[in-house]
Amino acid sequence: MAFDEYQKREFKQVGTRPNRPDGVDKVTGRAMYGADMTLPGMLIGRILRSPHAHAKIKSIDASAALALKGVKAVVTGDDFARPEDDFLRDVQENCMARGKALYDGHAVAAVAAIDAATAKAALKLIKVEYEILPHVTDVDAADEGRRAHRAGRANAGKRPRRHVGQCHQPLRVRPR
Amino acid sequence: MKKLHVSTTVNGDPAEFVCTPDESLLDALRNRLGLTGAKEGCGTGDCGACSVTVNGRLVCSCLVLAAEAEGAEIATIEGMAEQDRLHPLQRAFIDHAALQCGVCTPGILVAAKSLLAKNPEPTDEEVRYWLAGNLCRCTGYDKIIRAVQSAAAEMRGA
Repeated sequence: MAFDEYQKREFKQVGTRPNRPDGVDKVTGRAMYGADMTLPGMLIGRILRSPHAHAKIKSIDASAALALKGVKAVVTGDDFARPEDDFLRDVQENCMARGKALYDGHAVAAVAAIDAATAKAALKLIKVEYEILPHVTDVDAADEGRRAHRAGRANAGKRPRRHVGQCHQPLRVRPR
Repeated sequence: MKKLHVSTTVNGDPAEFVCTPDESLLDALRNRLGLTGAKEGCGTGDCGACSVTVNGRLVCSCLVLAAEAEGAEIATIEGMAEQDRLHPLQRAFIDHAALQCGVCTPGILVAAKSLLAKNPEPTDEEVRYWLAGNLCRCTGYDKIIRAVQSAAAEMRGA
């Protein structure tokens, strides 16, 4: 059958325009998202992030934060188990810095407290000692520089190459 | 921090809450009054997901102090439908599939309602300018504009 002989067919679902089943909840503000839930005794988390693009984390002292009334827990990269797998380790370090902050905004520590104000106050009490390392801001510099992540052999995750035809030969343009 | 006692009106009903002096109206609505329709997208007034009106004026509730609600009239998305009857804007958003994840939707509806109260017959450009402070990351501004225009036409006829 040629493409232009297409016959229109009627389907029960395909081709119809059903209203979304969650539409009414979403236009009335009734829909509940994760951030909309509250439970009795629920704790609030806040994250301390690196102010440096690349830095060695020499030490983290969370004792003052932990001593603050209403703070229930503080975690840093050292609290996580080390996955055997290189890739999973990389994922873990991307979630929370361990030994080294790899970008401006990299999570360095997290606090759980009874409310947001307490958690925020606790973040200010965490003392992180950084040794600032050089960082790069463009692709070429990153390509030549030292590798930013421990996993993998270089900063470039992949170098796909594709050679088709003989593009190095001059094109022969046929006159019309 | 010593808490403040605030008496206000939310969606036509009297409401009271206690809040800290530095608490935002958004946090008070969501955490003190349980009205979670307004969302916190950015907390810095860029995304419009927390849009509500205070005494008829459209604001980002994350930039308004909760204490400023004292004696004011607040309107949120929760007050837009009348019982089971959706507002024409709400129906138009569903009919035109003008929402996906729905996080920006309450803010956009509140903002659009405020636009139509001032200007019942806006041009597409005016709708786009008015809603420029409401970000949607699912894409679909086009459907949103069409939905607002369709609701506007319906409301003019009604």
